[in-house]
Amino acid sequence: MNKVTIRHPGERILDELGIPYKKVNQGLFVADGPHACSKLIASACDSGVKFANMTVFDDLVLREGGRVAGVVINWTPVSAMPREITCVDPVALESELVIDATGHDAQVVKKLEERGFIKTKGFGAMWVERSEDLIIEHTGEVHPGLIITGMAVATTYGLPRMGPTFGAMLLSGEVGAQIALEKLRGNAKIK
Amino acid sequence: MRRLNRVFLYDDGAARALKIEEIAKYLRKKLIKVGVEVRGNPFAFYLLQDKVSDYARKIASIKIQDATKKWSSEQEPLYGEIEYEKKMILGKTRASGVLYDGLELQRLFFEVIPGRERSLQFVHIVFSNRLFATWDEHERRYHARVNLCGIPSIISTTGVVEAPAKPRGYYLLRQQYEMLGKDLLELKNSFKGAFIDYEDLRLTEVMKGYAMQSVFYSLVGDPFCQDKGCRLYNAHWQEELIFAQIESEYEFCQRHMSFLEELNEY
Repeated sequence: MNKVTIRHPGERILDELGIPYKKVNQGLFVADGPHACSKLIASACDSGVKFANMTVFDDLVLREGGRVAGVVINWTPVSAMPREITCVDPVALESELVIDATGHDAQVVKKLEERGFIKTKGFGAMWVERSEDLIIEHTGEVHPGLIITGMAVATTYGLPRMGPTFGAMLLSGEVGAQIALEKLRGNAKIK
Repeated sequence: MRRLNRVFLYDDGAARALKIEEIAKYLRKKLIKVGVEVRGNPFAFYLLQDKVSDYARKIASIKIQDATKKWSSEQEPLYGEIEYEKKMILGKTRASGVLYDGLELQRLFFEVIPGRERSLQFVHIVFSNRLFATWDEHERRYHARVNLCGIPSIISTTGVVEAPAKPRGYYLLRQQYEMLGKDLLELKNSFKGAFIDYEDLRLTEVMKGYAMQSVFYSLVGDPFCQDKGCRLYNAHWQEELIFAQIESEYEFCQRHMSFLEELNEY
């Protein structure tokens, strides 16, 4: 089975979600990839997340001052079929916040860059020891309405890539969620 | 030779293994007639709260993205980069790994030092975990540094691990380890002791020599020595660094020893 490696303190999330893992070295843990991923997805669903499966991110919804206010999506097959038979308009999903967790591609941030709102730096060379902490410390709102997590953070800020290790991915997601909650609570107070 | 008035030591988020008080004690022993003061974080010591955002922006804008491209003042930092630098200034994080233009970083530290203390009679030494590099016009690329002497001198606890080259065999094996996805910690363990690592217990001892390089820069204008056994030797390899700072039978060569004696006789 494919393995995923997690560095300390990322194993805390594995404990919380009941994902089995083994300690292979001081501060280094290994879990079965499919087991870990399916438990992560399941716990997201248990918490109320709705997945729009077979859809592709197409564009951003922008409001006053360039604030990100949602995304435009379309059915994935549409992009693979001839235009003559796929006359399907995209769908706009409005939201108070958008979280870009698209990994190195940083698709949402890149779309913002295409529109001239931001200039990404491109991820730096691999530096495993340093990248994990830096990713977590840089996780947050990159533009009004847009939060970035995981390797999208490295691509946006030019931070070192981290190799095949996932501790910071989990913890960055957690930090991103906390920031999103604070923003939503703040927005609710303003309203 | 100049006369020194005072030495100030600062801690800009330096590695936890570094004992700055111990370095201060060492300097007091070596510089009998010069006061040595530990001042903590330079920004916390000098900077007003309303200037934190301003300096965070300035520091974020001196990041090096590509070691083969010279830093340009036109670089516009992103919001998240400024927020990270704010956390660094306020001591809320010690996560390092960002590469900065060393001379620009030194200039920013210089800005926060009060005018009355901006003289070579005062030795300002900032121990930082920031990694910095200086541009080499001949090679057209940046080189990571451990120590950048001036006002202030900045000494990097990350640079001491990353800048001097590790043994050749380490790099050859690391390529293999990375290709095979093997654990790099295992590789490090097999070279244990051959180079200074993060949170290395030898760090404080090594940094005493770098602090003395900064002192000699203020004293005579030249921080380095050609003698491989002298603490002022400008080591380019970890092996040389460990020899000069830890293994050598003497601390300073005759010439630099006599400078110190002269200074202490004033």
